[in-house]
Amino acid sequence: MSKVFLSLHDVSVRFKMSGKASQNDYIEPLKGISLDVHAGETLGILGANGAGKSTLLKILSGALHPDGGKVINRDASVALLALQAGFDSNLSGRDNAIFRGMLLGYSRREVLERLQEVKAYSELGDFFDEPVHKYSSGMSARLGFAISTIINPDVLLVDEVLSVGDANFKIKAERTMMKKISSGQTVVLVSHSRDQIANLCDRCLVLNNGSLIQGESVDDALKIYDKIMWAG
Amino acid sequence: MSNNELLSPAAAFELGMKPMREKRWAEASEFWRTYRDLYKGYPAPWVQGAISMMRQGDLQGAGELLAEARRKFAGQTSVWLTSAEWAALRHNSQQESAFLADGRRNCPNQWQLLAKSAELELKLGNIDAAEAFNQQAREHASEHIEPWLQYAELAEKREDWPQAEKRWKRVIELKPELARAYRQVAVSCKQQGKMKDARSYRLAAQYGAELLAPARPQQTRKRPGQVGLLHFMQLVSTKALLNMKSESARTRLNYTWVVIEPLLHLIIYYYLFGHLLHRGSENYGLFLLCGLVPWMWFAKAISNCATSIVGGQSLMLNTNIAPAFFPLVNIFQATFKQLPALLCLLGLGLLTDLQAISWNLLWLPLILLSQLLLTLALGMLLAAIIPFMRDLANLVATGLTLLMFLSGVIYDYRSMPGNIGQWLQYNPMAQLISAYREVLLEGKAPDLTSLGYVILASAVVFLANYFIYTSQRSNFVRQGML
Repeated sequence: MSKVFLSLHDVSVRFKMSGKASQNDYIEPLKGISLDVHAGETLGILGANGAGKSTLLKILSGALHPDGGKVINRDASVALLALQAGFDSNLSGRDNAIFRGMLLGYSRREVLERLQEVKAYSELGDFFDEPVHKYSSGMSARLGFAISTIINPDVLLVDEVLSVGDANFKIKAERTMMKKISSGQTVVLVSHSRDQIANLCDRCLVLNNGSLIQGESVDDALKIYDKIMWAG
Repeated sequence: MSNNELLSPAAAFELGMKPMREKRWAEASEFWRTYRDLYKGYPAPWVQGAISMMRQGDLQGAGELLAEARRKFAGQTSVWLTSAEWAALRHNSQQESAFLADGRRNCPNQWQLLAKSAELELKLGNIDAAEAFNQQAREHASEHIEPWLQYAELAEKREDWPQAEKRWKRVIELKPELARAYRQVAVSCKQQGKMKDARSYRLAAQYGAELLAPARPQQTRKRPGQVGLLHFMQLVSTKALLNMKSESARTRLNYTWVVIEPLLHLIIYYYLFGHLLHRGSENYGLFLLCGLVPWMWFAKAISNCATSIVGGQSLMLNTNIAPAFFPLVNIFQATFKQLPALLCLLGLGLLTDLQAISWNLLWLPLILLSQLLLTLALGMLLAAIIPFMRDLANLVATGLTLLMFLSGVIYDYRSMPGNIGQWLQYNPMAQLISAYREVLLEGKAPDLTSLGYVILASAVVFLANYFIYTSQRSNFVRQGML
C-alpha cells in the first residue's frame, strides 16, 4: 500500500447545543471515525445533508481539532478548496488574487508571476481590475476557482464544488479538477452526488449519522449509500 | 430521366445515394434500375441496387443482381463484400465464406475483404483464423483504422486484457480523437485490476486526452500548513496594505482623514480645556499634540484588534492560518496609517516652537518602538480574550476612553490629586506619553527607567500571549462556531 498522508483514529467531534428546544446538550457530528488517506488516491465521501461531511473535511484540513481521538498528519500539506471565503469586496480581483495566493502558501513574488495565468483562467478580462463588489456571483466563483487552480497541496480537500459559473466555465473547471485527479493528486472529495463519486473515486466511504461505513469496493459503498437513502 | 444522361457517373450515383442515406429504399431501387441501363460499365448500379433491395427484404432480387455483378465485375471489392453480406442475411455462413474466399482471390490484398473475413471467422468461433486475417488486413489497411479496432476487439474476445490494453493504446496512437478507444483501455485496465489507469482513461474519454499528459512536476517547496515566519510576516503586511487600500476606496478624502481626525480632536480639546476651562499649561497646543497623536495610534490599533479573531472565523476554518494573523494585520494597518501622520503632525508642531528642537529627538525611534511593542502585546492579548468573553467587546470603547483619561493625554497625569498620580505611573501609556513630551516639548532625554518598564511589561504580556496562541488555536476556531 502506498504512503499514508493522513490518519484519523477514533475521532469524534461534539458541539454544545444552546437552543432550549434541543433534548441533548450536545450534537455529535462525528462519532469515532477512523480512516487513512493514502498518497495518490481519490477518496470519495458520500453522505446525506447533515451527515457530518463538512465537519470531517475541517478535521482533515486541521482547522478543527477533534474532541476525542487523534489526527495524525505525516508531514503532508492539506488545503481545502474554498471558493468564496475571504474576498474583500472593495478590492479588485487582482488584489484579492494576490492575497489569496499568498494565503495558499506562495510568496508574493510567486503569486505575481502566476497572476497572468489566474487572470486568463478566470476569463474576467477587464473586470479583473475592478472591485469585487461589481462582480456577479458567477464571476467571483470563477475568480475563486482560478486562484485555487494554482495550488498543488499534497492533499486537496474538495467540498461539492465543480458547479462554478456558467455551463462553459463549469466544464473547464471540471476538466481542471479531473486533470489534477488523473495526474495523481491526492484528493478527498465530499459529495452527495453518487454519480460523481462513482466516476472519480478509487475508494468510497459512506458517512451516516456521524459514523463511517466502508464498503469492499466503490460499487459496494454505493449500494450501502442507496440503502441508507431509501431507508431514510 | 433524359437529363440524367448528361450527368457524369459520379454525379448520377450521388443522386442515387441520397435516397439510400435517407432510407427511402424503394425510390433508390428505381434510380439504380435506370442507371443499370445508362451506366453499364460501372458496378455501383448493381451493388447499390442489390443493397437497396436487401434493405427492402427482397433477397431473391438482390441475389440475382449480385450474381450478375459477380460475373461482370469480379475485380471489384464491393461486389464480394455485398455478396458476403447477402449470404449473411440468409444465414448461410458457408456461402459467405465462399464469397469472401473468391473475393480474396479476385481482389488480393484488399483490407476490407480481409477484415470481413476475420469478422466471419470470429463469428464462427475460429479466433486464430480471425487473427490471421486481421493481421493481413492491418498490413494492407494503410490509413484505415478499422482493422486496428478489430485487432483490439479480438483481444477483448479472447479476454486477453493486457493485449487488449496494448492494442487499444495502439488505436489511440493512430487516432487520438476516438473517445471509444480511451473507454476500452479503461475497461481493459479495470479487468486487470489497474483501477488508477482505468480511471485516467475513463476521464480522458469524457474530458479529452490532455488529461493523460503527465502532470507538471509538483513543487516540493513549503506549502500551506508549514508556512515560514518570513512568509507569514509578508502575508500580514500585504493584507494590512490591502485593507488600507480597501478602506480608502470607500471615502473621498482617503488618507487625508488620518491627519484631519487628530487635528479635529486637537481643536476640540484645545478650545475646551485651554480656553474654556483654563486648564491649559504653557505651550498647550504642542502638549496636546504629543499626547493625542500617539494615543490615536494606540487606540485605533487596540479597538480594531479586539474583534479581529472573531471576525477571522471563516478564514480560519477554510485555511490553516495562525490566529495571530488577525490582530497583527490590524496593528500593522493602524501603524502604517498612523505613523506617517504622527511624524507629520509632530514635525508641524515642532515648527511652532523651534526652541524645543534638540539632539534628544534622536530618542524618538526608541519611544515609537516601545509603543509598538506595547500595542502588539496588549492588542494580541485582547484579541485572544474576546472570543471567549464576547461581552467584553462592548466595553472596549468605554475602556479606551477611561484609559485615555488615565494616561494623561490632555493633561499631565502627575497633576492628579492625592496619590492617584502615583498609581498612574504604573500605566505604561502614561509613561510613554510623558516620554514623548520630554523629548519633543522639553528637549530632554526620556526617562529610560520608565521606557524600560514599558518594554518589560510588554515582554511579560508577550510571554502570556505566546502560551495562549500556541495552546488555544483550536479553541479560537471553536469559539466562533458556537
